[in-house]
Amino acid sequence: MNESVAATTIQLLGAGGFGALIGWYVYYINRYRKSEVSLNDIVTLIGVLGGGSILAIFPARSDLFGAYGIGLFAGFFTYFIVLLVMVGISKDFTVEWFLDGRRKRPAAPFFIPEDKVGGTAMAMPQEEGGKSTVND
Amino acid sequence: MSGLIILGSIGIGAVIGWLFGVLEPHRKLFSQILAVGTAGLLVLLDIVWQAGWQAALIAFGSGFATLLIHKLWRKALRQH
Repeated sequence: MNESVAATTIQLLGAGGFGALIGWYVYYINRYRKSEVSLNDIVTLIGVLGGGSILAIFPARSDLFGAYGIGLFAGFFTYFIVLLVMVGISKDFTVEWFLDGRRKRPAAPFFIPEDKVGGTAMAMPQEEGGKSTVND
Repeated sequence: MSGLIILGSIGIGAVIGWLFGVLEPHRKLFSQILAVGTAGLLVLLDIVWQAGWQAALIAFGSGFATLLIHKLWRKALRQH
């Protein structure tokens, strides 16, 4: 196990950045699920994270694998921490949002456009009292 | 095994452990365990191939610890 292959700094930065992008995007995908979490979601995400197609990019026993893992961790948990901070400083959300998606309804003059132009910031319940589509 | 590989294994394990924590037990508990276990095992095998069994062991430990942390955090939120 001591025969790890050395990599250049730029290679390490590239692998770390690639991991960070994947980590950030995995949290994003998990957060924007449109239904209750299903097994398929998790299995797919795990395949994305550590599937052979991803890890095969890096030579075996190289430090690039380590840089990818560090980047993955940084991207994934940075998203989570940013979310924690934003929910913490917002007056419209409480920590319960992480459990069931509850939040205050926007009061005039604020509104949510029907066509959700500009993207859905956080998945909304489909109807009054509807089940949340958002998880942590 | 280099420090980078150790840290990377901890990182991958932590992310996967956190994702496992999102799953809530329900009626199909056995099939959940089977599918998640298979997916986790495949990733561990990938890590063994990439970095050796020690790295896979580290990733497993990190994943298990993160899963526990995630579950405890959700429990604390419910009691909030």
